[in-house]
Amino acid sequence: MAYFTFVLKKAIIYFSVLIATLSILYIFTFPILQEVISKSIDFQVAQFTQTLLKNSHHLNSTQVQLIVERYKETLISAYGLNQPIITKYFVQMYNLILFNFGNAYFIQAPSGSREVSSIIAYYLPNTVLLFTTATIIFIIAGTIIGLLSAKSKVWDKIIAIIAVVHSSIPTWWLGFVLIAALAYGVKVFPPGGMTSVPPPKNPFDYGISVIYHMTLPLITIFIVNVGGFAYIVRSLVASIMKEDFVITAKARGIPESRILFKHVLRTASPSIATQAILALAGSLGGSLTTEVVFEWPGIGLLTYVAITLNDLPVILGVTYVLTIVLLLGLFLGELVYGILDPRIRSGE
Amino acid sequence: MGLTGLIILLILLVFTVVALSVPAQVYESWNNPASWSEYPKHVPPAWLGIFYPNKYFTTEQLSPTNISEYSPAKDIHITLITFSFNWTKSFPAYNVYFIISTNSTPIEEVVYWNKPDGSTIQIQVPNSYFNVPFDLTAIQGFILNYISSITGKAPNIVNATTLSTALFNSPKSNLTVTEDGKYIVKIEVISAKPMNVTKTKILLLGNSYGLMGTDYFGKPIDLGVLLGLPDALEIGALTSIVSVVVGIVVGGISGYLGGTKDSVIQWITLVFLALPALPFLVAVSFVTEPNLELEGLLISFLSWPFYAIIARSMALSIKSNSYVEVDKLLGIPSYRIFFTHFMPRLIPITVAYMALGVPAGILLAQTLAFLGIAPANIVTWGGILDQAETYQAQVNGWWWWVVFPGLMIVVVAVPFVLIGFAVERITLGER
Repeated sequence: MAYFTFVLKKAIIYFSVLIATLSILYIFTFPILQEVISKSIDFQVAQFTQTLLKNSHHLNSTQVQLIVERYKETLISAYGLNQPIITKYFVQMYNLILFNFGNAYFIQAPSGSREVSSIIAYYLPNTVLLFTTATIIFIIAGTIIGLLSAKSKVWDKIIAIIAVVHSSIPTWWLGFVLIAALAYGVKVFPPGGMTSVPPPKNPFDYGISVIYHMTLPLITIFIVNVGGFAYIVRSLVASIMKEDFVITAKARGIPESRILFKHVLRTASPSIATQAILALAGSLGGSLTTEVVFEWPGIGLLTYVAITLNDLPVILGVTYVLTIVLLLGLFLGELVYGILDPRIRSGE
Repeated sequence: MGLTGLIILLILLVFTVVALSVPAQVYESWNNPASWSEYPKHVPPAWLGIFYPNKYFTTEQLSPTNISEYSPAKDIHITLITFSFNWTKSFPAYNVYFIISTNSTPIEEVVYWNKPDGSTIQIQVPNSYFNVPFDLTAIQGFILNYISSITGKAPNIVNATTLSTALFNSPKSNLTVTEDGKYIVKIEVISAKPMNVTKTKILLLGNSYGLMGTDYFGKPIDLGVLLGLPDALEIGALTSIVSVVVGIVVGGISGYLGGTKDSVIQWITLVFLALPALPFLVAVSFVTEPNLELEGLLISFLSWPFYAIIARSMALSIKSNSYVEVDKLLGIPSYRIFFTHFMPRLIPITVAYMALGVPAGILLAQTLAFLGIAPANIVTWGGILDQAETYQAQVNGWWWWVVFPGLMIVVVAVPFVLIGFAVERITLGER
């Protein structure tokens, strides 16, 4: 029962955080995007007026003006500029909760749909495919390496070195260098994209092509992140190793590897699991630059294109999705921690 | 480990001082391609010449060996500038720059390029290039004519290097083999009145340059790397200090206060934590003109929650210590308890994170520059890499353009990370 209250409390907190975050984003991005849209409307109206004047000589000037005015109004209501801000805000928030992001201004999904939700639905799986796989791989590798560090000094030093790598190398730069070296210098991997062009029809060949294209970005993400995760695991394990029960177990003569993999791992698992969930939740957020460098068709690339095109609905939609994923991850992290740490289950 | 970090940091600071002593106009001329016209474009670093002495050479500057004037007829004055040089490389020069400045406008300028085998090319300098430095692409018309008169066809690609084959290769071999030996270049300047030559030289551009090569515009990468250093460090330091101090103070107070105030602060922290950094920063950059300090503040705005969480959990564990309870029972005011017990314990971790925060700030700033968001008029390594990507450096094999600026980001980040880890290890070790 205590766990249920725990979950409920956390759920309320996270939901309210979601609304607050989105509101802040909205407040910050709204003014310019208003500017951009009204400038675009002015431009379209000017163009429309020009073509109108060219093609209709029999209309007098007041009639022309009327038509132009009406055109301008249709544009304004299409872009939603004529409603007061508060109304727009509530409408936007309401829609977001229902996952209704409206239509994109400029971007289209390959299926032809202009709805932002279908655009995102098309590109999101690609990002998940690449980043979640990469994250899972480096989490497993990092955990193993981190655990190993408790056993031998060699691994400890290695971890220190690769952790430095994690904090100092930009993923996109490493990607850039690896592309230059392994895709153009020695033509081992393709320089970008998700499949070869045109994509193979045969699903098996398609799968192979995707894996082939995924290898280089996977390697890049792995190299940059594994050190950081291993360092976190190592710190956790190191602090546990100092605890009394470990020393007792050693005194009892239990072999080192059993202590490590049974007792220590069990104690460390809540924290490691939380870190793993955080890594997974945050992995999608770091996708922008990596996808741009590798031309991987995911939501990172989508965000970049949307920003260059000033496509507000898409930007808001993607940000919403990313925020939800992150908050969901944090929420799940707290839940998992609550399950694994019995103290929380029996009430705080 | 921390010691290595400190040493590297000191070296970096020395370079920062060097970079700051570079006059401001160099910074401004960085983005102006015209200032770099006399540099060879997209060539590799010069030290490759150590490993491949026959393949790579650097720019050679020639001064005239003789300047003579004579007047063959009334109102006609001819100034004859003679250069001579020895060419020993097996490749033509990357490009040739002619710089002839006179104190009045000539009527005509002719260049006689005499090769070791005795053949001469005669080039009429176009009027638009009087008193203006020009290279082979400016006179490509004449050179292409020459080439087709010898080989029967024009080259497929027309750039400075292919044009240079006309000047350095022997006609006998159909312009394929470079002639080694003595070259004599005579420039005849014809004017109506007597004239003074104020400056003249010839640049035989090398196919390599400097410590790190040049980019598409001829800008030396080593200069770019140096110029980017002070701003990068400034942003890193700014974001680190602001976000760490704000984060730790907020987190520390939150953990100390406990109760509802703690929950509220925690909630606020979570809201900022959830804001996705890159889309937010990119979107905001569209509103305002990014300048260095503003960018730093924005990054701090998004980074402090991370430190607040850490500080809060530390504060909670400090709070559970008995001496805090004792002081409370004794009636010592809250803020004094905070300052005497909490602050001293939070300071070591603050220092550690301030060190670690710098590379994070630098990385984020350079990432933004890579995407095109950076204050104008400063040089950033991310910006250099952005240009490299635009000009397809990786496709063309100009690896020096990609490797060195990025390597610099890493090199700057490393000492801070080392110092930060060292401090962290010491502070956590003693607990």
